[in-house]
Amino acid sequence: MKQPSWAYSVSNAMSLMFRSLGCLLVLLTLVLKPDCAAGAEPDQSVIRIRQAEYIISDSATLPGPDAGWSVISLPHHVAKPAVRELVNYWYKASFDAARQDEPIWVLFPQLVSGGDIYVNGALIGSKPWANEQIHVRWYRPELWLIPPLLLHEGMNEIEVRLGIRDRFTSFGVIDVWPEKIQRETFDRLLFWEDTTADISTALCLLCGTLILVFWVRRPQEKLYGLFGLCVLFWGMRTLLLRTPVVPVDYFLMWRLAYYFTTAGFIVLISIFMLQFSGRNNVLYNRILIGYWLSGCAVFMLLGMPMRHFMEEYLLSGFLFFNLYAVATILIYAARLHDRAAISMGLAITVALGLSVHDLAVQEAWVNMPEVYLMHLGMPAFMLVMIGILLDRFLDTLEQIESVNEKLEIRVAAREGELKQSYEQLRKLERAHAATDERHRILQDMHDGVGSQLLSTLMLAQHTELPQSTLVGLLQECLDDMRLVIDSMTPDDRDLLPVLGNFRFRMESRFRSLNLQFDWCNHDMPQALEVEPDVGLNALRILQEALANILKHAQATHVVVDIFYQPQMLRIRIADNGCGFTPSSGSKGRGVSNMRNRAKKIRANIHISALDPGTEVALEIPLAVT
Amino acid sequence: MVTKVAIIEDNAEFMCRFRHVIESSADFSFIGSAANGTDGMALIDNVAADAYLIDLGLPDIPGIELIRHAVQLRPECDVMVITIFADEAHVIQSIEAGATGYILKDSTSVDILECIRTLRGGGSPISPLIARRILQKFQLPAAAVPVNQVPDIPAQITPTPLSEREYQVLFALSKGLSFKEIGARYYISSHTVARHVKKIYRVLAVHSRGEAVYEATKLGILSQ
Repeated sequence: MKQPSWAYSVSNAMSLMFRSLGCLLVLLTLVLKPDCAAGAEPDQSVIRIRQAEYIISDSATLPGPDAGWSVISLPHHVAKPAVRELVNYWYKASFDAARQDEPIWVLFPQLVSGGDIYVNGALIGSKPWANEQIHVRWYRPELWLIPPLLLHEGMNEIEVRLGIRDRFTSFGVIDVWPEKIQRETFDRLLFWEDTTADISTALCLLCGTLILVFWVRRPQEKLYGLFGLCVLFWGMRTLLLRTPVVPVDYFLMWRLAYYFTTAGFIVLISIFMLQFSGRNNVLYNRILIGYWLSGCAVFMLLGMPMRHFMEEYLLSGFLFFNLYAVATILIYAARLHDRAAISMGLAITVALGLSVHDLAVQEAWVNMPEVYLMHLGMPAFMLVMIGILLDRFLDTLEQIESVNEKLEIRVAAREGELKQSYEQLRKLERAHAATDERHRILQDMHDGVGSQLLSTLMLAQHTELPQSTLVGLLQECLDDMRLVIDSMTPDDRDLLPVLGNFRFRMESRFRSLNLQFDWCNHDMPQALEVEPDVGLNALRILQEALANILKHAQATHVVVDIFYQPQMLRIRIADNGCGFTPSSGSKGRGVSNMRNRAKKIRANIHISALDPGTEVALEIPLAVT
Repeated sequence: MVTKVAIIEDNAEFMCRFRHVIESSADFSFIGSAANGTDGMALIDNVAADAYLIDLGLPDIPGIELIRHAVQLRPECDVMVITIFADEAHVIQSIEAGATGYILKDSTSVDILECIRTLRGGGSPISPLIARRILQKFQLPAAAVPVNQVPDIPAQITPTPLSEREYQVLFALSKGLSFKEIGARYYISSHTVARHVKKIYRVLAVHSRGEAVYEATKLGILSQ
């Protein structure tokens, strides 16, 4: 079962619904107006003829006064004598036009059957009326000028000759008065009886087609299809009904089409209402459709004799089905308090009321002017429907928007989570790096400053050290500590600043000793990323070499060349001192220290003699990133 | 013109040594000393020196406060920080407080005098690691500079309070180039390089003050 989506949709664009209802009410008030104009007492000055005489006569001229006229009151709406299909009538009525100084017009608010209009025996207007060849039914007022010359002092007479095929003899009131007032009334009546029907028909055909096109694109929306068909049927029905002149040869077919569309509309709208309120009942639908199609078939087979049956019983029979559907939708609306359903129920009630009104008028159950209003029910109904569709559309739009919004929020939340986890990961990495660094520094303290301080202490305890030696040893300790501190940068592995700091320090030391110190960078890169232990050990070797020069070489000029190559860092330290012999004392320890450190970082170290001086060449392989 | 020097240092031996170094040179005069923060504040208030040597690790008041006080009270003076290791954290902190130079406790006398002279000449000393820290302070992604770019023309990626030249100098310094090398590269004297460094220090001090105000405003300490 497919329904509640129709009802749900309404929560938001409620104002739309109210507007539809408002329009409905306005329409209703307007609809009542022509009734007032036609039924209520007219302007005092208008002469409304309410009494007339009529006679059944085929005579082409006005029958004499003693031909058997019957006095009747207007509007005259009675079952016709059933003797034959086509009955010809004469109607005549008197009026006093003496006091008029303006031309007088005669207005027939309803001249349903047409007719030839005479004043005092002279033809002033004609509207086709039923004869052997045609069937006629007019749904519009008529207004004719009475030529002033035809009128005379005192009582004048209007005579109308007409023929009727319908089951009822119908002849409305006649208003006689100058044009000014008559024209206004005529225009209003014309609009409500005729123009609105045209508009409604056009609207129905257009909207019905559009809705069907929509349905073809979205076949799963059965309700749309049903509604489209309803509207289309209604449009065709109105179009057929409003065809004023139908040749007798086509009358049966025309009538059949009319029954088919009218009953079809009732069937479809009933099914629609049940589906709308979620009470689709296949059996009910089948019975209804069967009733409709068999009714039409019977009429097709038996023809015009069935006409009375069709109109009196078959169409009235639909009323019960229809009432059931209307009741269902009203109950549904009341239970759900759903404004879409309520408006739908109201619209249908109005349409039903109008149709009952039309039926009552047509069947002469009430003495009311023969004005048919049902064509106005449909636009109201359609308005509600369009409101519902629009509501659904807006709802869908809002849903999409909210879905998008939710999606955005979720994406943002996810982004936040990702960021957080990334942040956590980085924190972890940093913590890890810090731990690594701590380990490394501890190891360095142990191997470097620690052991150096210890050996200095031992030396100081056991031997009488000259002050200069002690100072030198302590200076070495301090230097090593500086190296460790300089290389303590876990977030940046660029060796260049550390190397630069070392250079900076050494330059100042050599300068204070008045020694020439040249440091040359060759092909220095943007950055030189190395593992921390590689950097530190390289610096230590460099420091050891320079310390050796300061301690032993008695050089006056020291040159440090650094060659930056993509896979290799080459360092060359040369002095112009006295050179050295590898095996001598502390100097030997310094060299073996350098070798050990070089081994640790898989570097090659070459110490060679220059003339004069010494050269230490270090080749450190770099991890290619 | 004799440069008047005041020293605030709690270690008597170092004080003695610094005083000795200062008095040993004809173009310097020693005009006062203090052995703790309180006395140091009074010294700054009462004695107008051209250069104050301030130890960071005073027993009562953080040396940073004294630097700030001296710079505020005597904008024309130079403040030098005395540090054991010239480690980045301490030196940067001091520069942000307004110091324009630093000396190591075990510097040779030549170094100490040379440093003060540089300062009085409008320049400042700097080590590559400190240059790198300042670069990072200004959030210049030195590492993000394309590798194929020659190191002497680094792209200035984010707007900084530094001029392009200052940035170039700072970048080169951080890579271990000497004042002389940088001077040769940009066709300026090494004195000019030193002056750029001093300027950078001042910018950093202003920058950090701005940051402090910003942080304080954010925390609601200062009202807008």
